[in-house]
Amino acid sequence: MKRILVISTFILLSAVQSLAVARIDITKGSVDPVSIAINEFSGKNPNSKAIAEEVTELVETDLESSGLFKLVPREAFIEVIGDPDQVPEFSSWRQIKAEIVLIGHISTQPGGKLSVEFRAWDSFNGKEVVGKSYVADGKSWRKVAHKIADDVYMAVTGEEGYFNTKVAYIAESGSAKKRVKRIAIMDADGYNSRYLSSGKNLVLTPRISPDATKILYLSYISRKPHVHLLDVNSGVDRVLGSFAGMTYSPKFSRDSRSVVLSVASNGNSEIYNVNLGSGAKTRLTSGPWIDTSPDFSPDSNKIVFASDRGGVSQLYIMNKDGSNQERITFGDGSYNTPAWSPRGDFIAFTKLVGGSFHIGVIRPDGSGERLIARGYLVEGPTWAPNGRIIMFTKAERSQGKQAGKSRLYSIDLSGYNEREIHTDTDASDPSWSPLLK
Amino acid sequence: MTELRFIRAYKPLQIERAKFKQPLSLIISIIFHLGILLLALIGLPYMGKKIIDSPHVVVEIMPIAKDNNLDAKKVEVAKPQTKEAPKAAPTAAASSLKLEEPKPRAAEEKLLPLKAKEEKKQEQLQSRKKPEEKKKETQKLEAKKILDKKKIDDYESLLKSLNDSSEKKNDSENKSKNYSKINDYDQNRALSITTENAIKRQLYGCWSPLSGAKNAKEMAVVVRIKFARDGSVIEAGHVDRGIFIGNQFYSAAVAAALRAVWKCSPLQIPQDDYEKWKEIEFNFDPSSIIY
Repeated sequence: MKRILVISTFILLSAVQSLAVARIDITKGSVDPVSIAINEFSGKNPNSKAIAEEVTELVETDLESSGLFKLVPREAFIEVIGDPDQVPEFSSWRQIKAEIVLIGHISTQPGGKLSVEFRAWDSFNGKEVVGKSYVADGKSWRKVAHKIADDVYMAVTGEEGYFNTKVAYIAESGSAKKRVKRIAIMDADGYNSRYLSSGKNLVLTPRISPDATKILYLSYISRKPHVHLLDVNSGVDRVLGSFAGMTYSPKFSRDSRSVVLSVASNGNSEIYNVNLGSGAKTRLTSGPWIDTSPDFSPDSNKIVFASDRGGVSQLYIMNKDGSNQERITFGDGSYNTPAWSPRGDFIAFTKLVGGSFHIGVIRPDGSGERLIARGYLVEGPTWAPNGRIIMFTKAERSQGKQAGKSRLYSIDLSGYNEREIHTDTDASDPSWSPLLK
Repeated sequence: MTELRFIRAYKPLQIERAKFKQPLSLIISIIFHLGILLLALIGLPYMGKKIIDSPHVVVEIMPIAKDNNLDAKKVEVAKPQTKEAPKAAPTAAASSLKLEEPKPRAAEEKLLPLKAKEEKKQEQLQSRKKPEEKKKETQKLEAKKILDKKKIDDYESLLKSLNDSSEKKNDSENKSKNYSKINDYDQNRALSITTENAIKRQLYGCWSPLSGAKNAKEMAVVVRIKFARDGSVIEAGHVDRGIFIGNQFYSAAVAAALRAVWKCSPLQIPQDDYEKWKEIEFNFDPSSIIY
């Protein structure tokens, strides 16, 4: 009996020993992008092949420009696949360290339509990450390519993409003293730009609506600035609300139904809410100081704005009815033009400190302030619909008659990957649309 | 005859006087003795310095080898001190050489051969000094490397920031966490420190956490990996702890962690304790590098 007890305790002890698996904490990593191998999209006939080549190149450009992907050069491919239904030989892709493999095929259909199929695989885990097909108008191949890039982006990062979006901005030209400014709208990558105003009047700060059908902008007519509402498709343009004073810095609510803006009269500036349907105006702030630059939170329950009631312009948050106004920034310098991320976790702003302009982000509770861009003049941040990328204006000093260069730049929330957006003319005041359908 | 009588008569008187004197001196002597005793008994404790009872510090000297699992403390650059001693010797030799030089210079006839001698001596001096200086230089470089490494290790965040005054609080909190670990001798940890560090360092280079994702800070992923003897990954699985179910960011984080392990395969791990590292649970925790 005793022997059995002794033996059984030994067995139990040894069993316990083998169950104790070593545990290691990995608390550090690197900022390496995910390596992706994009096979040239295949096409049956010369026409579809030509489009396939363009689509492949655009998908490559989009994914690489996000800073989260690194392209594996095609010369290194051991296997080349043109059929999205073919399962890749994962070991040969692992050998060239390609974590994601993308395969696509384009065929033209009668009526000038395109049919695009694609599949992306995770070669290390041996699984499919995304596979879809699209049918589109032959002329919209850029849109399809952007959608494919968005799908791959989302499958790998878990985040919604931002490539199939539009940006409204001010196109600038002319000398420093006679600057011509026009409202323009373009694809987020800088292509397909078109003008929406003539340039006769001075226009500023265009704001695109969440459904991308309307643009709010500031226009100086007879030297007084007023907020205008422009319908992109019909071209109908009207002054928003009848306010006695000047109106400026407008922003749409997330449901596109109301607009929040600043109204200035007698040196005092307050924030108002205007219902687009009924035209009803509600005053949200009051006090002998400047309250301006309001922006809604993603759920439209709160509004962030800039106010100099504390002496210098700082950021405040209040409920959508104007109650419970709380200050969230307490740093040196002045904070302006807040923009609430569509993801809700950060607020971007322009900060002037130490004689330099900066673009920064801060959490709505006031913590985690980070400055991510600096320049002679950097301002006016706008968020990509996934709350990951910020676009802003970067301008240089004017040299006498020649106006300083003004361009749009984008930067990742993490502070990395600052890039210039290709525009035909000088550009400023960007406003990013949500993901288009 | 009469003198004898006197002496006889005198003697007993003396004895009587002696008898009379004894009790008095005795008493005085006893009193003085008692006084000293009392003084000693009562006064001595207050006269001397107090001895403070210090807490006992148990020091256990252990060599840092492969087999233990104490975190190796960062080695401070103590090397320059040991090099100072030999340096003193050559300088003494140099000074003695210098003393010799002025004497021979006086003699003109001996100039030429002496110059050759001087040059020889100078060359010797220089050659002796060169390795010294070289050693010093490499020490300086090593010291700098260690310092630089320290800098990188202390302030490494994946999120770039142009302002320095950002969230250093978190850094100090994490520092204290790490130091408390160093002081614990954990008998349950199966792996030795050198093995663990070797594995960690390789995975640090392979893992790219998705730093910009929403709530990225909270997305710690636990994966269980089975290794072959050559360090290559046989099996890699996600340990589902039932959190963030259905969250696309979390699934992306899991895929990224698994990819990191596969990318690093085969890992360079010392062969001898294969039984200890053939199956490891990795906790990919980005909370200290994202804020």
